[in-house]
Amino acid sequence: MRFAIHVKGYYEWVPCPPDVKPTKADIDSGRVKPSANSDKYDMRVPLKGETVTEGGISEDDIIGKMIHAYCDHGKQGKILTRKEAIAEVLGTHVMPNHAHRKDFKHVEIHDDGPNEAAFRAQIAPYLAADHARAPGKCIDAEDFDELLAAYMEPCDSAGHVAHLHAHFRVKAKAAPPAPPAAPEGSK
Amino acid sequence: MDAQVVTEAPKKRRTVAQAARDAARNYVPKAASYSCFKTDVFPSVGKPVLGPWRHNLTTDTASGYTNRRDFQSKAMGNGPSSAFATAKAAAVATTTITATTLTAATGFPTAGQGLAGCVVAVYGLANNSFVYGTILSNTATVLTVDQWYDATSTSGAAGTTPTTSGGSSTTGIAYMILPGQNPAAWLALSADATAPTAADTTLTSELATNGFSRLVGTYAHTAAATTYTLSKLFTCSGGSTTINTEGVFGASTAASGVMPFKSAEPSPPTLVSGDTLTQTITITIN
Repeated sequence: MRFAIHVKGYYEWVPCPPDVKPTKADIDSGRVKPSANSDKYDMRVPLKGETVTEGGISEDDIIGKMIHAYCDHGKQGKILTRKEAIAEVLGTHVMPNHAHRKDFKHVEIHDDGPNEAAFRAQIAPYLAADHARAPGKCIDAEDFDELLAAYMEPCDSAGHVAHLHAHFRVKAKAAPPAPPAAPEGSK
Repeated sequence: MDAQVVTEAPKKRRTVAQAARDAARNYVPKAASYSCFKTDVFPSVGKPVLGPWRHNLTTDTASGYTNRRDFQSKAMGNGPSSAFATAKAAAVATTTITATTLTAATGFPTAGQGLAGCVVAVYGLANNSFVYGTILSNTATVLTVDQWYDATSTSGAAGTTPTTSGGSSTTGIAYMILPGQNPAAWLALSADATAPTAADTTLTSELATNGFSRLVGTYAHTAAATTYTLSKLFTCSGGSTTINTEGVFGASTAASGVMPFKSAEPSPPTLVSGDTLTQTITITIN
């Protein structure tokens, strides 16, 4: 799936000035990262500006998110639909490195839909493997059909856009209506 | 009257938050190209352990085609000036193909690193298969690729090896070698605890089972920003594995392709079946 999230602000990284000494909390929180010279730090800076974060989510990350959500909390986790998994991947693992949710303006999506064969192949090892921290397998066989149905739930690109706008609480403005055609013969 | 010594009041230190607000008003980009990585562990029971950003070692060995500087130079600058007569060929009887090789008439460049890292697109008339491969190495007549990719797969899945009529791979294969490089978009893990060095060319004992196999990362970049990110979810599907090293690669198969970045996990996590590890790589390209 390809995505483009239009933003009015984004993150950049600049060297920490000499008078700034990052604390352990700064380092642990991800507000700073090692610089090109690993004895110095860069700090994350929120900049204002209209731009777009573009990328591609691999289908195995979408399926992987569903696997993770199911196995989590000792298998008391959730069964996500494919569109929910996409929102979680973007919201948890991708966009926090690029822009704050409050700066999202609108989303564009190109999606070719689920791949059932890839889903079955990726899920198979988890149907066979014992969960190390909960009874039974990582994924119980009796839950497979529900997981598959959640993965295969129909959602076109417009549906993904609507879901992501709701998930990220983006108040995207509707595109202005096309101007009416000029009457025939008018100058 | 004694002379009075005037001492300047010590400068008050700013916090990171204050300095970041000041820098946002006077932003000056910093020139450097390097990588950091971040490992988050989500045990299936218990609290997530979110890692800090750590410096990702940039490989720089001069032998063979495996290091970041060669890859980046070729990807950004090696265009039509390096074109050659056998960069494309229509279907001829002398072109043969296997799952990982394409053999053609003599004439492939072999000087220096040859065609390593380039993409070759191939079409097979008989089975209508249109795929591409990452050239790992070549001789004058043979291109060796990691696999034939399905260009429509976001996971870098294998496509169908092109064939010819009658099942004989001696006619009906057309190919084109493109300028540039296949992207370094794969993330891989290893349990090997040997300290990485910039001269490394592989990820020793790269993991290929239990949910930790090399996979293509999810890519993102904000237009005009100085970084791009690759991220990957790995959920353990068996056993108990301690993740000691990670690497970024330009091909799909284990122990192959350019490896621009590699690092050791400072606090190696041990994952058991049901646990998830996410790896995030940020590469600064200013």
